[in-house]
Amino acid sequence: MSRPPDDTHQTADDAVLSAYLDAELPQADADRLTARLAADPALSRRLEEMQSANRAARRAFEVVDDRPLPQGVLDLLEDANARQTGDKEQTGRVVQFPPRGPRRYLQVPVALAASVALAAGFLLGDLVRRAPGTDADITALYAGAIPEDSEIHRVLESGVSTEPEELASGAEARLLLTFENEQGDWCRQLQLAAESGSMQALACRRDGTWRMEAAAFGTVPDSASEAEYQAASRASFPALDAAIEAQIGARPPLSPEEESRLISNDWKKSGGSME
Amino acid sequence: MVLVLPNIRRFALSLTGSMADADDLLQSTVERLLVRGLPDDAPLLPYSLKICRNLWIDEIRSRKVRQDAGSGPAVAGDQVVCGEQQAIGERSLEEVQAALGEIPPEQRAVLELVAVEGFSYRDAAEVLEIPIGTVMSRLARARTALIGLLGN
Repeated sequence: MSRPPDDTHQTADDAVLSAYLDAELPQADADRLTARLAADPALSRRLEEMQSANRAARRAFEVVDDRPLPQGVLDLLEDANARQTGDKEQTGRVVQFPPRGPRRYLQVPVALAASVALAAGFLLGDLVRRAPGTDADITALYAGAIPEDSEIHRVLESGVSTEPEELASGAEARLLLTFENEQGDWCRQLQLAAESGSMQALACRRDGTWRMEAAAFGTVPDSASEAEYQAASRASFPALDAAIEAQIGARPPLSPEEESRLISNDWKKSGGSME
Repeated sequence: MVLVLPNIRRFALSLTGSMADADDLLQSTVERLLVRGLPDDAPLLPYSLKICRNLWIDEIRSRKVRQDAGSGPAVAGDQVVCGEQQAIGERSLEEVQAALGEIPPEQRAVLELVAVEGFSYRDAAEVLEIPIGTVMSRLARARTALIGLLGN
């Protein structure tokens, strides 16, 4: 079943390979290991095994993301929401999704997050299978997961920026930028506009599925005039632009032709991707 | 705070090894965060994770639960299937979860923080209140163990 006990050679190598995997080796040691890997197929295979095991572990932990948050937690948050003197001003706030790493997030008051989610309730309906406004919708949004059978997923996967679409809910979906981020993932900027407001989102494609990285919501007051509604539906979100600026890699965003080509190529890059 | 709940939840899963216990731990953590209030200066996520871990430690002590390697996540009593030749990447989710269940919580926690949350070794060391060297060795041991359990 398990392997025979590792000899010390393997143990020492595993420690170095592990740190190499996380880019936590000092540069000189990393360079030395790179050279060793090129010359030693067994070592190289061991690294690949470690990468596979790492990826498998990640998938196993992330599985919990797709389950709705426990009701007890939702109740706690709702109580807190009710007690909090909320911030009324909601337009243009950037909500950053569960990020990788401790620094990449914003602290958002519970009241804001909850009320923005509810105000964008109909938009959540485009993101998830079930009726908008349910708890599961909110958690799906906050987990960053975009269900593969949702309209949003389809738009991200095969939409082109030259052709806005009308979704089942009546919202208009418009793709803006498509670009490659610093990690080598494809990302798209998506705008949804509807009567109750608009939303701009940044989603990136990793391991074949799309995840929300950041979103900004602009809500429209009930009494809004036609002009105010029009303005809100075309709102720009400087904070989201900044988030995109931070993510965008060296190459410029794709032209519509490049987008079409990439989509018909199943989002594969010419060089092949590592992860 | 809502935004870091999934991060805390995954971390709680790494500590407890079961989804049900993870959700209980998540709830205790949220309760504590709401009671204590959120910090003005300190970043929210590391602060929350420390609280989560401390609550877990308290729970372990008060329950005097023996953290033996057999408590698997999600699927109880499952065996890791090792009969066939199969690449690690082709292992089913259940097999991977069972393998993770065989790994001590301290190793799982480091693996989760680094491999899933993307923490640097230093930040993981800070959250777990252990030396960076310990982060490195626990990670390596976790990965070695996983290769052994999932490999051929």
